[in-house]
Amino acid sequence: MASPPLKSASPIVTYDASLETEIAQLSTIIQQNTTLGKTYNSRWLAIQLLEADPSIITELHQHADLLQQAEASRARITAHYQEEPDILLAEQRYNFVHHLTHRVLTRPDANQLTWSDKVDQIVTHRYWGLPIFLGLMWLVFKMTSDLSAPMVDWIDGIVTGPITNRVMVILAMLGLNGSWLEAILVEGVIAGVGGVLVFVPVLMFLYLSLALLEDSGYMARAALVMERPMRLIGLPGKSFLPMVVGFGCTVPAYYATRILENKRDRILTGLLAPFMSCGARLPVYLLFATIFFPENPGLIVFGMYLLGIVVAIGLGFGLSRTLLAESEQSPLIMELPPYRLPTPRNIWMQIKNRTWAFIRKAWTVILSMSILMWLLMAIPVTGNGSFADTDIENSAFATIANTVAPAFAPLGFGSWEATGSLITGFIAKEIIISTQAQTFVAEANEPTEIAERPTMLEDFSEIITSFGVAVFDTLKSIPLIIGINLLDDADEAEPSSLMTAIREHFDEVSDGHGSLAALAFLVFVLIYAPCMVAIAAERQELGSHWMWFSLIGQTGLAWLLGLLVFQGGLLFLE
Amino acid sequence: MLRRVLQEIKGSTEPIDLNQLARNLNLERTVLDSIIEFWVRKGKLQDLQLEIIEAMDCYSPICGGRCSPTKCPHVGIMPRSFTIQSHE
Repeated sequence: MASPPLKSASPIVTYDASLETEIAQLSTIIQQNTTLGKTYNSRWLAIQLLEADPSIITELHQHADLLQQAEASRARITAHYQEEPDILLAEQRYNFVHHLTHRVLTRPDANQLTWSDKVDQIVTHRYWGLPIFLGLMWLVFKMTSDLSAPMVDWIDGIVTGPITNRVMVILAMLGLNGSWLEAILVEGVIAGVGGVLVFVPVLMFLYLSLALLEDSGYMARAALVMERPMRLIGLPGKSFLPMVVGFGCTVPAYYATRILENKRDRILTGLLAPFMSCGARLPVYLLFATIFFPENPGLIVFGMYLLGIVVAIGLGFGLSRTLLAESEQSPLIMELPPYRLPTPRNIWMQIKNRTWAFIRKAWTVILSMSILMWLLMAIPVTGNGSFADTDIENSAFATIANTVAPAFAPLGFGSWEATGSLITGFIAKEIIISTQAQTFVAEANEPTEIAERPTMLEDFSEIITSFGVAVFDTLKSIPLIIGINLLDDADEAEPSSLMTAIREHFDEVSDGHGSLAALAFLVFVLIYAPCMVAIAAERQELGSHWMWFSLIGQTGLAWLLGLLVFQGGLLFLE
Repeated sequence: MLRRVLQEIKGSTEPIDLNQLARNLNLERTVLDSIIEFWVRKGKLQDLQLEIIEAMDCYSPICGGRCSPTKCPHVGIMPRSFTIQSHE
């Protein structure tokens, strides 16, 4: 704290007469005390005591009489003004400074709008704001899917080519080819973890787009735009914060509901937050959108995010008028930072931190689950097979998944392969992909002979060459964002064996309506229960009762919407 | 002046930008910031950004992120925002 001037000059700020009387009384007592009188400016100390400055009160704990006098002064002021003394004193100081600066300062017209203000009038407009936000989000997903495709193909090529080759060659050198260790590494670890890691470029492009929007200052405006729909469904404006967090991860979104004091608001926000599609679902959307809607994968991904918002608004509207009656609205003030050019360092840090988190998750949770899945796929329950040598249809995993598969037949994907991945998706949503990758690799794996495998040098050369091609194709993909296609047929990558297997499988189980079944599958993935950690966080924040309500309600709603998409689509096509 | 700021906030039906609020009240932005800070200290306004950081928690092993609310890689940068404390 700055030391106060000791000499008593005439006061610059003069307060109301009643306040001045109290200040004078306390000043006199302070001056009469030799220690305090020498150490402090008596008027300054009197004002601090009237404001009940906690550090001063602690410092003066030995002067009980003075503190008592100050307490009595504060009580008299409060009774007289019906307001706390510190508010009165601060109010009068601010008024003094305000009038003084108005007298002595000449400023440019304060009401003149800056360039930033003019842009804000458009992007935060009550009618245009939302369409502009949705348009930008569509651009983000279009850019993400268009630009990342060549790099996804490159990583997929490395995982299924050189990495698988090297592992198999090493195992063959150790005499372990054809062993269960080879199966666990190739069909378990490489297929499972590799199947998810191929989406790293997608996420990097998404994080790049979001970082550009965040660093430019637009995301603060988007939050302001998101606030209005919250009010529409009877939630306080501040509920938008947990919702926005939910787009990143549902777990912190549940914790963020703690900012809401009202229990009803906390429950309603917590029930709606999981509909804000988290980042873990993105690879699933993109894989299926690329397989079944190759012409416009970005639009499908954007549609999923939009559907989540629409479902949340509809549900919130219903719940706030039935189970959870509407509460009082509170006004919101936000700081909109000035627009600025994003800095490469900030952008890179955001991309790096988020991508690294995804890779860490792949090597921990997804790796463990891939090994567990492989074990469940290797244990025979029916048929004549033995451990690691059984038809996957006879495995423990297929048997478990088969018990729930019929429930999904009306949605067009009533197979154990599809439903099994939805079950494992409870652990983490990315595991939907790793499970499908493992399932279809195990079903279709035809290992090539070692003699046919390329040498290490050939593999290395292939990695470098294909990287150059991928970079060139990424650059050629940039005009795609505005609808100009510079890629010729030769540049378009062939669908991977996994993509072909998923396409054929969905076509087969849906009697030739694979795209419709895939869309129903995506809607189910969007709406059904979040991952187990999110469920645990929900239980902690909302209680068991609401957790079960949400878990059963979300899964039921997901089934209904999936049914609507598939059966409604069939009716439409007929 | 302090109370005028609070009244203006309480009376608004739409979210307000701090710059706009400063213009409406003919105040310097820095003065408005210190008034807002004063009301947060007095418990009349709620600093949502601060509270959201305190409220957040994470499970590092499952999300892959750093177990620190301010460094959670899955959470975007939140705009600084305030609201009236609900008991007001």
